Amino acid sequence: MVLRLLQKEIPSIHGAAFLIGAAGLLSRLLGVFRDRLLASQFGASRTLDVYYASFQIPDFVFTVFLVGAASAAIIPLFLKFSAEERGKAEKLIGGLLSVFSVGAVVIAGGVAVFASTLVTFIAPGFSPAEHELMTRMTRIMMISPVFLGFSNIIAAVMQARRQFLVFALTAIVYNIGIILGILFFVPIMGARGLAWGVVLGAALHLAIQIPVLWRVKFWPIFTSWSRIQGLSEVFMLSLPRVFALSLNQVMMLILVALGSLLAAGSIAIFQFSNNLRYLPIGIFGVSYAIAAFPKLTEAALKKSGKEFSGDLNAMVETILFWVVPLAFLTVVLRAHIVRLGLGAGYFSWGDTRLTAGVFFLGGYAPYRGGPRHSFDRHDYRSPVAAFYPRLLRAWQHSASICRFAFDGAGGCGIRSFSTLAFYGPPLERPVDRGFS
Amino acid sequence: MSGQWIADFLKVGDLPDVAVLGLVMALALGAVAQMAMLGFALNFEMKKFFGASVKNGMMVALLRTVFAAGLAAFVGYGTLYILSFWVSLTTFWGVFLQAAGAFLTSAICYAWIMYFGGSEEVRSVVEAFKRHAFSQSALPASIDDESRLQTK
Repeated sequence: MVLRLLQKEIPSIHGAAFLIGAAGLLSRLLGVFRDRLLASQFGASRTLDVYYASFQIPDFVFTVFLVGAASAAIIPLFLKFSAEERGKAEKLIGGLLSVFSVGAVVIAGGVAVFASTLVTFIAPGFSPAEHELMTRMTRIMMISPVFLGFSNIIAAVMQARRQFLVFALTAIVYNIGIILGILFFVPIMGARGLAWGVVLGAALHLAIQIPVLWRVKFWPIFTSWSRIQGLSEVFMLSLPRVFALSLNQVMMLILVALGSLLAAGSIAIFQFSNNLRYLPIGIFGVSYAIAAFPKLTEAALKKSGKEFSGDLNAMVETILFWVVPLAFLTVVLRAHIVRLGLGAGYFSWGDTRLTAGVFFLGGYAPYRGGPRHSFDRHDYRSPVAAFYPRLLRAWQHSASICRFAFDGAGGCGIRSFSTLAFYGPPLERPVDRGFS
Repeated sequence: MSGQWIADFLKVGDLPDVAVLGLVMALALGAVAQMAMLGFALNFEMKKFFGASVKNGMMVALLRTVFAAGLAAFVGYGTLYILSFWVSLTTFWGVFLQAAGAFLTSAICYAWIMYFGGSEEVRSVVEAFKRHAFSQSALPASIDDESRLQTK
């Protein structure tokens, strides 16, 4: 009965969006609860900075894993192969699973070995003890992208078959795993328990899809990969998306590196406000984007510009209808939202005010999920090209803004020429000094 | 624009370590630039692939939504101001009541403006409510007890 429910096909965009949105709402609310637990136990502290910095390498590796696991690349091919010949799509997924399992072991293992060196580049402002903790946490968390990568391949199949329910549940169980880690692992293992919670969440993310996978019989195929049709096409389609997402990761790496040079708790505050910012985006924007993607793909395959444009317009207008008023309310209620969401335990009123300020500024940053439309048409370059201005501007602004903010705050960091060269040139007209 | 001015505007100018505001400003500015670029790219690609661009209705919808949301936010801010005379921010429930009050008045104001502005989203919700909420047919003719039968 449960399996049948999980396999239920949802044909309409609105129905799928509603389901994903509802699951997204629950997942995001769990995310707020997770952050509240973190904030109450640790406050805006260095320990949380280390935790969030430890996410950077696993996140980057996960992005690299998307070369073979990007749903945006898998779905169009899966739909095409399913329509062409029985068994062809299954072979493609089986091949992807086998290539991924070999690649994941090699890359994750390699990163774990060099983690102690990598952390010094990612968080140059941390002390040796903090680097030590970050290395340990990074090594533990390196297990999670392997689980998430497998899970992503299976999720792409679920989306293509419009079995959105199990896909919608994955984010919920991921957060439950992290929450269990905070509640049960941290008291035993200390901060490392946070990392094990992430691994548990990723394992649950994969595990919930196994029963459906069992039913649809997509298993890894260990044969000559050159004989599996579509593998190279998936990689070619994924590469630009992976490259674009990698640039995003590089930008986050820069921001985290700069955050490590700021006062303790800066990375945590940045991350908390970012998570709150994604609450409405995750519910409305992402759910509609994911649900509409197969429909847009079909319209593109039919070369029906009218249908494509109609679906796209309807989706964008609906997203705007929900997200724009929420953005305005974010401005009015920023302190209330942060206090209600995070204000407990060690999370002080000062932390609340600063997070609210960061939340206000971040509220104007639009969601970055646009480039998917290119994959409907097997376009490899546009997502990457569209990303350059953001990276360049973020690079320039973060370097400049933070440099002058540092100087104003008493000059605690980025002063040497070499560091400035790494973090980028200042703006043409420098920002006035001081946030403090 | 002075960093101190931004910090004061956000009412955090008195806090010691607010340089993190610079990080998020960088993110926001970069995201705005990216969104503009993606919009142009989408239009260009659609012209190339389908021979037709995105319908113009999108910009009108955006302006109408921003106008309604701005007014609603103004009403919400007024509600917060009025509520602050009676409800304190020192307890969780005080914060919750203020936020809930401002949210409700803003939501009602937004829905009202959008309804009279011809928003399809609000109209479809109102129509569905009128059609189903008070209708006998809204109730199911029978209860699906398949699950109960299977557990026996």
